Amino acid sequence: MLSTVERVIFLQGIDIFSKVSSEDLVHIAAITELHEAETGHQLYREGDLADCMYVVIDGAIRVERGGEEVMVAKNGDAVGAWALFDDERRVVSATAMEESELLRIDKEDFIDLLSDHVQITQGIMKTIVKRLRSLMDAIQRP
Amino acid sequence: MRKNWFGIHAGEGPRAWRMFFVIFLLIASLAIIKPVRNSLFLNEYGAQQLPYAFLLVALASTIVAVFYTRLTKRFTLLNLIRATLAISVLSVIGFWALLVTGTGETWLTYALYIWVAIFGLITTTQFWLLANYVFFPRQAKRLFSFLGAGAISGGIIGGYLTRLLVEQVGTKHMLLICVLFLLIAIYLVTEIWRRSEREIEERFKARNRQERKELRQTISPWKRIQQSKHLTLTASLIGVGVIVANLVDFQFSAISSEAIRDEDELTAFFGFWLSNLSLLSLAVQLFGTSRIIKRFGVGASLYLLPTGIMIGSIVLITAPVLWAAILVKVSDGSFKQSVNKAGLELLILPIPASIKNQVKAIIDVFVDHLATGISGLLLILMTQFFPFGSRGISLLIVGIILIWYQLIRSVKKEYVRSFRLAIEKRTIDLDSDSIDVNDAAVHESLMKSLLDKSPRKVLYVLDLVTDAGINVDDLPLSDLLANSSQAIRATAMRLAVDSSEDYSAKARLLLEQSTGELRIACLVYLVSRDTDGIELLKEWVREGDTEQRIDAIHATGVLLRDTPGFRMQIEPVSYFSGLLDSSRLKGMPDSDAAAIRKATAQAIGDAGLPSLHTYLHTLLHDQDTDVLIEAVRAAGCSKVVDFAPALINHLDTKLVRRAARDALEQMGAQVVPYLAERIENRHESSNVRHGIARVFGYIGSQAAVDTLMRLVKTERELAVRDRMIRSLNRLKQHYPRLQFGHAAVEATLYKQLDDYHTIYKALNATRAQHLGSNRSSLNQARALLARALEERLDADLERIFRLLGLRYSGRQMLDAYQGVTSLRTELRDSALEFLDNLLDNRLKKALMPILEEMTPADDGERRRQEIVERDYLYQLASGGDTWLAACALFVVVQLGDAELARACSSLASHPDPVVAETAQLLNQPPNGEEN
Repeated sequence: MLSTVERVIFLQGIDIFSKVSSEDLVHIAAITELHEAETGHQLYREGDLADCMYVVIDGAIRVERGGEEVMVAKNGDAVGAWALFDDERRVVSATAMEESELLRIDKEDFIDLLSDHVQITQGIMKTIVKRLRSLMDAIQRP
Repeated sequence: MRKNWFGIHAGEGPRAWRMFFVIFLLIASLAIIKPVRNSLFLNEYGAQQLPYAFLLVALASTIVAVFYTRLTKRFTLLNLIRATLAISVLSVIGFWALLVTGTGETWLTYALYIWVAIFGLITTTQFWLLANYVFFPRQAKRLFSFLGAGAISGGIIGGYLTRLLVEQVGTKHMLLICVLFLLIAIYLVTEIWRRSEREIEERFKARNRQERKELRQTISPWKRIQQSKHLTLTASLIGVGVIVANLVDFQFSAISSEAIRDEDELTAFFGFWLSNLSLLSLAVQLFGTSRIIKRFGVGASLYLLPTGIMIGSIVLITAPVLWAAILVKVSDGSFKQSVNKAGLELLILPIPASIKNQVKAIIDVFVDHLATGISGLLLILMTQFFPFGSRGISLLIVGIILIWYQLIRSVKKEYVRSFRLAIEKRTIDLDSDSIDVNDAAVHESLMKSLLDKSPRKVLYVLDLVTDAGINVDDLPLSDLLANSSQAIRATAMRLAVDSSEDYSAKARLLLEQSTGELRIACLVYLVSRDTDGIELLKEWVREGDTEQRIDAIHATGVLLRDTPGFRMQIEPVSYFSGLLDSSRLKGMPDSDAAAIRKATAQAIGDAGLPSLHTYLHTLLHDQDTDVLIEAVRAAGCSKVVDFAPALINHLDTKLVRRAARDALEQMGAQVVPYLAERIENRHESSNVRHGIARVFGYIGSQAAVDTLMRLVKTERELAVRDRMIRSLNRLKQHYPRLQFGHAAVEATLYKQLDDYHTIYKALNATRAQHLGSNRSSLNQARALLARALEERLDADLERIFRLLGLRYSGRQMLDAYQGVTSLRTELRDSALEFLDNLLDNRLKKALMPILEEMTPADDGERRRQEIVERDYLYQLASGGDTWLAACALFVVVQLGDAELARACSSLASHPDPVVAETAQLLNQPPNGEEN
């Protein structure tokens, strides 16, 4: 069983939460659930409704699209993070390559949390804006 | 607030009167010195040299304006004014001495001519600049007409004094009277400054900074004028006016000097007419300007000045004699500073304020100089190359006036177009002191806008005209009541209540066809106008469907508020008791019953009757959130402090929190003791305490400041302390008269600096232990603690600067904070330099080392500051900051130090769940390996 502080340690490594203060990550940690996946267990498939994201604590998750591997998520990596922010269906599938331990964040719980903690929303928006700026810089650069 | 006949409020008298006498003396000096200058010049050189003087005035004024602008950046306003006046005094004495001794006579009168023009320009500009800093904007609006009266009376008295004394003392010795006036003005300016030095300097510096910032951020004013047809035409109009005024001046001077040969007599003549023209201008300003502009509008009123001059010039063509020249000068003098000036001010009304401020100086100064130069050139051409004499110049004036007419026609069209655009873009400034909805052109534009297709635009204009107090009968209410937008029809029906027309039939028809706000407005109209209306209202409340009942309840609230006689027609207490009668509500679906209770709460708020407050107490405990929000709003509107405890409780209710905050803010200073009692209770929920700290920031009273200053020193909950400091910053920004007490602010500041030092030491120690990127559990724990400490340091630094903002200027401290936290070295260095110069020594000693260490220190430096890890871990774990405690405890868990673990084990029963949970890990074996 992971303590709150240990969950925060995992969450602080996720890009989308990089601008959320460590103290506010405690609130996100409070809505995470431990999830165990056997080898070959499919977390979600392409076209599924996106209702949660996962953080890999231990093990490895293969992420693929149209049968082609996109990445392998290992300790501290997140899969399906953008599902928390829109209502689109999954564009990739995720399958456990070995026995894995994960933290699961439910989308509904997350949205409720954002409505209560505006500073978390601000932190996430800072990351998104930073990404947008880098994209715009990249586009504008000759 | 007590105020006297001149609009001077209590406490403003000495400063306002001093300023009045300063402008009086300056303009009186000008009124003396101008006739002296004119008569000396005309006697010396005759009128044919005047065009060259005009050219030199234009050239010299431009050079002086550029030079003066540079000086304003280097010297304080007081030094500039005092230096200008002192130089003026010395110059006048010098001119007097040279004139009396007869030295340098060939160039002296030229020099005097140019000097007087520059003196007039700089001293009056400086005076109005000083007035802008001496008075707040609201005071300025009120007192500037009083100061304007000082200027006009200075002109009148100065002129008459010249006529009265010149024959006794002689033209040249009149200059000594100016010296006396200017010396008194220097004394008065020094006194004004001495009494309010600090605030004037701060405003002067702040405005300079703001102007420089705006200049950097916006496009140049010249470009603005070029890009806007409206501004180009306005500038041209002003330019043509200046050219004609100079030509008229030349005519007047030339004909007068021909008719009057004696120097003293000529001086007296100019003095006399200068006074008469000032009097005439004052009379037109007082009794004519407003009426003319209201009657004819901006466009038509702009024709008065050129037409007056045109008539005078035509007379002058037929008979070039003194009385005809006086006629032209009278037309010029009486309309230029009154109707024409007001018309020109109104002309730029639709231009957004930010652009207006930027281009006005350019139009006022540079266009004036340019036009003066052009008029000089034209006169040289007319007198030297085409010697048509006075008739020729009059013909030239008539020709230019025809161009002037064309410009007025074009600018009028542009004005109406810009006005419409301003309405569409909603850039009309309602607070502007010059907006006049009764102006014919403004009125016409507004009425046309009310028939526009865009509902947003129509509603905006309706807001504008009702705020400006326009007569309801002037509005096209029938058209508005036929508009397709329900919101417009509802607004029109609400306005119809005050109309002398009868719209009962329309109201009955709309009542049948509508719902919501329109139906409520119709019901209110019918009850106000029609005896049957009250019966209909009662019937709807008794037997109507839910929607009808809700609308009738809303209408009741509005009627109780706006129609005093209505209270006699219903018995409010039993009426509202009936509405909330549980036996009647029980029979309805829950949603309908809640909607009725919600409407009742709103109606009680609208009605504002204390006898209904007992029902509000009940509704403040309603189970339905919507009802609760409405009841909270109504309680806020009532301003009855008995509701405060219930409202404070609702700060803990997520969906009602915002309404509760607004309601408490509405109650003002009387609620401070209730807020203080609750925020001081440490057992109160964080939400409530945080909410109270925020509410304080909206109560602009000394009691709110004193309470916050007392509490912020001892507040341990960081989020609440943060909010308290933010509220103090807000109070300082919005209520500059509140006192924050330097000693109290500094005491809190030093405590905050101590906290910063403690965390800074802990962070350095953690960084020293946390080496490399090893992902062992201990290293991860230390990395998290370092991150938490860094976040705390950032927040502490912001708090320190916010507190400094209470001691010094908030704006300056915000700039400094952004500078010191910037990644750009030059910004950081400038901010540090700024603070080094601004802070007092003790604060500097405490703060500067912190800021200077923010630059990345080398590891050797860091190691010198090391403290023992075990000591600070225990200190943090047992401290009041729960998140730092949890992070420190987690390092202790991973460290496996048995003695330290024992010391911290009691924290397993800590009230904070995360601290307790982490402390409980101390009893389990560590799951990571030591690095």
